[in-house]
Amino acid sequence: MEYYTSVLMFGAISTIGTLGTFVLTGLTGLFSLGQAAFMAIGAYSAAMGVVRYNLPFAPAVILSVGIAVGLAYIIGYATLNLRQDYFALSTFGFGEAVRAVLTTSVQLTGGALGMTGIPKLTTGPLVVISLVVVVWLIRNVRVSRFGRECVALRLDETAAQAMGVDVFWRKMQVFMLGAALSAYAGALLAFYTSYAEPNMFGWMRSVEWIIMVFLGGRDSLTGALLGSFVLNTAPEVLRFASQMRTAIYCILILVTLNLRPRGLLGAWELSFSGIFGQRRSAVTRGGGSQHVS
Amino acid sequence: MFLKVKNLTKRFGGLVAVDNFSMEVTRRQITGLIGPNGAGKTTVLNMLSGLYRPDGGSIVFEDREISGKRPFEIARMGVGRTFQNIRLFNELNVLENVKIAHGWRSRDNLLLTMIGGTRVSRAEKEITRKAEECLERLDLLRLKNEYPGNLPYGTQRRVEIARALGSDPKLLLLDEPAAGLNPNEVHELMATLRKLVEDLDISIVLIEHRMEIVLNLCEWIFVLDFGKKIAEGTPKQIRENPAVIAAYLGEESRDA
Repeated sequence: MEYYTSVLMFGAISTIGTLGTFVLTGLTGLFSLGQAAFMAIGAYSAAMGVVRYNLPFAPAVILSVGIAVGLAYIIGYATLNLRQDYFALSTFGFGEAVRAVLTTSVQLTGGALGMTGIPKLTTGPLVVISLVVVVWLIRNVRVSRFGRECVALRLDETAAQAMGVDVFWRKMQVFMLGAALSAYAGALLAFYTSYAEPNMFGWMRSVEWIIMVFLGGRDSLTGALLGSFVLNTAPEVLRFASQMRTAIYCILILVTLNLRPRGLLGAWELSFSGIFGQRRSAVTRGGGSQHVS
Repeated sequence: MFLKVKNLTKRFGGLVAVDNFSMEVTRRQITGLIGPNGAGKTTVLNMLSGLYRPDGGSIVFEDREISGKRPFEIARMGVGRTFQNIRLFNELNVLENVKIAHGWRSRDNLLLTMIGGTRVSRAEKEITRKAEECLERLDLLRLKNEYPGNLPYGTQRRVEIARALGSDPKLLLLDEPAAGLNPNEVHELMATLRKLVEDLDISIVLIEHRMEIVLNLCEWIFVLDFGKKIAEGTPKQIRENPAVIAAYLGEESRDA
């Protein structure tokens, strides 16, 4: 029982981190290969705040999110004007740099051996409430003009600019929002496992997040949640097939993306429109028949 | 002066795409920009809307210098545009396309939006209302839930004009609005453009290949060839201008 609870907890925490990738890569089309670094920053700075500087839990977490957002501003300022491929490369560099710094600052972080002795302060209810609140916040962004503008600038940056969208600032906001989400997930993770090591936050994790978002459907929040939850728990569920685990995981992804290029759900969203009796075009529009352009 | 362009120059490597081009546009006027292929017409339009940074010269729009400003700033100052190769957002429906151009006007911010609430939904309603108004003007309201890719070419061009109207422009830049339209659609387009100028008090600068459309529609015409202005004047003056005739006939004999 405890085992399943912990699988679910990991799934939920990772999902919060993945949602950062949903807004950044899914909606806005920015491929960041350093997204997991923000998770590392959240994990380490919150943990260090509590362990080394005796901060209470909540302020430490808030501070860690703040640090991630501040750092995202600086990194974003330097990279968001770059073309797609260069942006991916430079965020990759940033992510690996963060990991290298965490590995070498042995006195501060414990180095490659990891940081131990973090109190176990993340509880089940906290994770559940966090996930619900985060999903609600993102859903509000998704259906607003902000979400629409993110999609527009992904589809045609030049046209979006000419329509009065401040493309650079919009990207910056999304980058900071993504960093905040990933950092928050990192903080929750550190206080759940009472342990953090640099290799938990490598570029592979950033890539996995992107895969999860695309598997579920890049335009669909519901899809991102589904993709994230399925893929975060799949390796555990497939444990019975131990050696074949990774292979099965890969085949699952290949098959899905070949059969449904726009992801499992396309742009479909689970919506409450039936309950509240109002239709919102950005949520309810059926994307199933749309093809990739 | 509404729009005053002076000595505008743009170079691409060794090629001078636009060479010391000057033009003036007054309020409530339809101005034509014509010339053979590669004459630099689109380059001028791209500089007016900020997509290209001029290498020299100035663009003063309503007494403010706009050259060197970023495209979204120029759009917000009241310059809307369409593109030669239609650039609609294909995964957004027609209504959402037009709403994009309205967005920057609403008084909300990201944090407020995340929390939601009445202020945000009121802003969204206002955006929807204004976008539907623009669609109505171009007789597109019934297509608001369609996706642009599924619409005929001529209709897509109209959607682009509706989207350009989204930000309440005072100056509308149209890059070959009649390209690919059949004669019937061209007639409708001309009537629509005249009506827009009439109803909205705007000025239009348009690029067009086909002489008959420009001569019919525009009050004042600028003719470009190899980046240089070779003539300007009323349709009548342009029709009789030997330099213009040479540029156009010259192109034909080059083709032959």
